[in-house]
Amino acid sequence: MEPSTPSSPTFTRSRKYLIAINTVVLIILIAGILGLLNYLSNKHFRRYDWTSTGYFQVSDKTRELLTSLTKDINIIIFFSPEDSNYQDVLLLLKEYENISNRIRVQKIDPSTNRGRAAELKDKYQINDNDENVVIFDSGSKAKYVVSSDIADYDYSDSTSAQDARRKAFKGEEVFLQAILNITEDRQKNAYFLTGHGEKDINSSDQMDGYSLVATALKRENLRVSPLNLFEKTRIPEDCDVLVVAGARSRLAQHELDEISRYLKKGGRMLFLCTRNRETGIEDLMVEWGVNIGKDQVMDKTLTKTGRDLFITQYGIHEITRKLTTPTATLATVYLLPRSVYPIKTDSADQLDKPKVSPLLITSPNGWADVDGNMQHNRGVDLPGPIHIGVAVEKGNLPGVTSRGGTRLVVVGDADFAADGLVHIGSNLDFFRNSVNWLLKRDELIGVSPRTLHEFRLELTSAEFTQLGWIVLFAIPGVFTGMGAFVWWMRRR
Amino acid sequence: MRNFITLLRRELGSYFLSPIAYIVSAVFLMAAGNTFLALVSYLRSKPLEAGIMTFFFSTVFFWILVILVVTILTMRVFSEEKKTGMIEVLLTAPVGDLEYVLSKFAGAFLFYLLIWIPTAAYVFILRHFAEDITQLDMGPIYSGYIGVASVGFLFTAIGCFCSSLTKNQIIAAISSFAMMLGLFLIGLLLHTGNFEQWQDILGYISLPDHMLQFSRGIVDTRHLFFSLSLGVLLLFLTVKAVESRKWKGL
Repeated sequence: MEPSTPSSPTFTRSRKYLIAINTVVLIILIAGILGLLNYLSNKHFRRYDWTSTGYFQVSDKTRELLTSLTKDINIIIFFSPEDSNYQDVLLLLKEYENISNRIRVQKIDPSTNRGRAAELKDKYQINDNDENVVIFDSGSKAKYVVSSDIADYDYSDSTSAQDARRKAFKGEEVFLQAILNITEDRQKNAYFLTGHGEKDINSSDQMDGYSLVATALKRENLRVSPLNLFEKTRIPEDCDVLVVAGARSRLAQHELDEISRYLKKGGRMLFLCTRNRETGIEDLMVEWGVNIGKDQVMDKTLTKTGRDLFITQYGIHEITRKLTTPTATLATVYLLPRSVYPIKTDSADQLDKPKVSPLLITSPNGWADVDGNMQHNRGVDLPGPIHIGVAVEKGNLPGVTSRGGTRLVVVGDADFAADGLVHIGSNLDFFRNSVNWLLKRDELIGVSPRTLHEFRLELTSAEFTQLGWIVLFAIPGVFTGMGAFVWWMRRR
Repeated sequence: MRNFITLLRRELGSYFLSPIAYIVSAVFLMAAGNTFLALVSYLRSKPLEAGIMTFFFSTVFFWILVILVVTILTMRVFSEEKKTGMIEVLLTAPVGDLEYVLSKFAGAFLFYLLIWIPTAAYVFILRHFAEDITQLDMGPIYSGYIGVASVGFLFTAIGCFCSSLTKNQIIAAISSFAMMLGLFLIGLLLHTGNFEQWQDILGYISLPDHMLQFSRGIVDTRHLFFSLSLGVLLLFLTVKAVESRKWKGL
């Protein structure tokens, strides 16, 4: 220990220690304060979206849903970063995280994290074909959505599915659906009528199989079961939607009575007709304001084989709202459907009657072949445009509060949703939207997709080369030149 | 305050008189130009639906470039004067440590911003050649530049801090490069998905993540605050380091 000499007025050792300690304490204090400030900043922050399209704005519907969550939801982005949707999915879900702290988002890259990837695939039973998925898990229920469902693509320019450009990003509505699905209290039930030659949910026959729509409905967390009404005589209490798809023989009277009773009590039914077959339900539909023609509808201008019918015109309704987007109108295809149209009523007793809205409308070239000879005979056959599908709604009935009113969707053809046709055009979407509307899941329909603005450049090779010179040499050259000048000046 | 301005002018002046600063700028602009040309040639064949600015910041190459530039700009900021002994002359002048440090920092930071200005030419070029001018969304471009400035603020502070710790410019350069790179890499960990429990914190400090959001048009006060507060902390430490020379007995 050196004694401090009286002649050195500066720093003694002990004074140095003191200053050192003082400094360290001060540093810790400041660091602590900054840490605290950061913590506060994390709690009270603002996030601004400077895009001109409000690309990252979250709709009120989603916001409402997220803030009213009662369960924690774990979301796993199981994507490889090269996927075109990756960034948008990531940023959108970040917004969700910011809105609600019940949402927790994780990212797993399937290619670099094989162990975890295999675990996840197993746990959530992800198909091997489904490459990039977003998994939603509420603890009790889980659902995943595939990347290709999250965007609308434009295939016109591309050579392969990978190349397809995204036209619109539908992440918000898809995620909304998923979250709703897994936070719902009760699993809903869809019963498919059997016993009259209806389409079979367990078969993958091209014409008679409905296995694909059954799978699609199960993916929406619906329980799908067959219903033999002849034997059972009663429609189960837990039936949320009754599907009669392609029945080919007449129903027994007690079946028809039961269906009528079910509908009057606020029931929901999807009725897909069969050509040339009367099931008895058609007569029932008259009560509900729907007339099903004994005919087959055709359109020479919107057909490939003469038997199929393309529909590109849709009525204004929630079910078909998404089929007419700003960028394109999507087509659905049917096989020689029957005409289905609203029965005209006097406006006087409108209030009490069911509200019938057309859904599917042929072009003006469409026509209904009533006499079955495949030729348009004036006077007998009906000229277009012809309706082949409607939605029916009758308001809340007194005493029936839990279900809401009755809803029906009637389409003149059942083949469009069979395994052979369901993946053509937007058939599956139409089927799904109809079922969802029937289940009164209003919230799922209507959140708008984000259209993507495409940015493209036009310049000739000469211009490109010129550009190259400017950007690679001229601009940096200016700086090099200035540097050389300065160096030369300093040498003098 | 007047001292600060004087020192700042002197500092900027020394940058403009230094050939190295020009060489660094030229190299940076060449590399940025190269990336820009890649973007242009991509856009000629395929349209890009979103996030033009992300093109620049999604590559490691570009980040390393920026780190290098800032390192070189800041490596001599305190070291050089320590070496030449100028620091004693300055310290005995009636200039506060804080003013001194801030003027050095401001000089480096301003020069960094200056280097980025020519890149605005890229924006004009894009607008000139755009097939449909309305489709170039300027929002993300502005926010992208804000991101560049905030990251630059932090990096410059790191560079100044490391420079203040040592006489040797090389050591200053290496340590500041390492620190900046380290900070950047921690952010990358977020993407490997291995550290699931840490994802919240990693997300908060991940600079690549912040930049991604800035370049897509999202301005989040947390990202700004993180860079600013950490930068301020480092500047504070720098002031302390400069102060310590007084009693360390140079």
